[in-house]
Amino acid sequence: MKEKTDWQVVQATLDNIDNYKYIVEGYEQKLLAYIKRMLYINNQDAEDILQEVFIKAYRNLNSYNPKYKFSNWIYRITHNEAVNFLRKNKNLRKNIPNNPNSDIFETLSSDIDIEKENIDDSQKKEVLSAISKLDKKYKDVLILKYLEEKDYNEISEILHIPSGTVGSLISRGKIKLKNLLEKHGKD
Amino acid sequence: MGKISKNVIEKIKKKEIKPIPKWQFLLKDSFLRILSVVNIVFGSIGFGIIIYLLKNNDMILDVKLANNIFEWIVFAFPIVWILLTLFFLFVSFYYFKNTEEGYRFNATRILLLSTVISVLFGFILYSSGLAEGLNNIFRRNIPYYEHTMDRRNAMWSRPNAGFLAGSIVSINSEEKIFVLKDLSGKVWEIGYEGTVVKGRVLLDIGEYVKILGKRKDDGNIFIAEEIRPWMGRGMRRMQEN
Repeated sequence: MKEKTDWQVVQATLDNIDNYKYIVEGYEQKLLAYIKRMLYINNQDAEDILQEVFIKAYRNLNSYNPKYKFSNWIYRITHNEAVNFLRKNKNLRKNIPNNPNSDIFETLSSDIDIEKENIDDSQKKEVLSAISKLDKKYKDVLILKYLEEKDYNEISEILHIPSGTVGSLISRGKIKLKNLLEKHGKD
Repeated sequence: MGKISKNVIEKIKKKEIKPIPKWQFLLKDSFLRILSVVNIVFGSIGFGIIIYLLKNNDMILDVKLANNIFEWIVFAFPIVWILLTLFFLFVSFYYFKNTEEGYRFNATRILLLSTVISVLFGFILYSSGLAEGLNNIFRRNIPYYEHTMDRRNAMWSRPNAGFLAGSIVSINSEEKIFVLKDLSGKVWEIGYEGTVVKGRVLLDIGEYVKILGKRKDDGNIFIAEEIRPWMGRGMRRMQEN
């Protein structure tokens, strides 16, 4: 199955549900990380959401259009489930993870031009905390761009917004993030 | 098999969950596209009728026919048609945005494009006379159409405000009086001593005229100050229908 494309695995799954494990196993880690980055929830809650994502994806498998990337399609379902979870849990406490990925923060901090030569763990938490405080529209694109490393077209397909809008949201989001971090630095 | 994939597949099997058939997704997308196009067509009809009603309205260029700016707006502009047309365009935009690939397009561009298409087809409908034909069909078949969508008759059916229209039933030229049957069928006695009678008004029996003047003592006597031909600005064909 490893050599098969996502589309072929989708077809195989439609023939036999047992083949769905290749899709689930291929995406579970990425999607679990994405859910946690979006919602700042514990592993158990994130796994529960992920299971719902895969069930919903299976139910809607015939809506996948092979013209586009399967990963974007399943990321979209994940994104929608995360948004639904947020709607149902409006008072969700935002726990910032303790072990942020260091590479991401070097890219992000240089891209938003933060003057920090050595970013330590507390500063990484600060950046994640700042992202979590942004408006949802900026948070969504910044997480996909810098934490999931998606390009503009991929973000457009996941969030269902024009790629031009993705570009402007990222630019404005970076400015807002920088302002938040600078304000926090002064405090 | 990993824990999550095992749980997911077991749950799918236990609950006997089946993938939704492809035709349902295709049908939904086609339905959204069709609804979007249908609303563009409705928008075009709306624009066509708006152009027709604006071009064939006495008040639009004659502000003095209104007692105040509010009255002028209400009678000069087909407000309900304008709102309805904007609604059709928005609904068309909404359905298009919800198609599989609708999100790829910029909202402003979609709205602008659908407006341009509707205006263009609206002009074609107006120029070909179809807009007028449709307006007449609506007038005949939709209850209260003349009170809401096409208020040109309503404008000339306000004797208390000094506006009256209808057909001449009989004339007494010696006493400068004629009998008029208004647009709702009510009979009036019109005095036209010293009245300004605009060109093309023949004061013949059966002729349709529009009268500016004053109602006398809340009765069925109306003193005309100015008599205008009914025809002009598209009213002749409206009368014939």
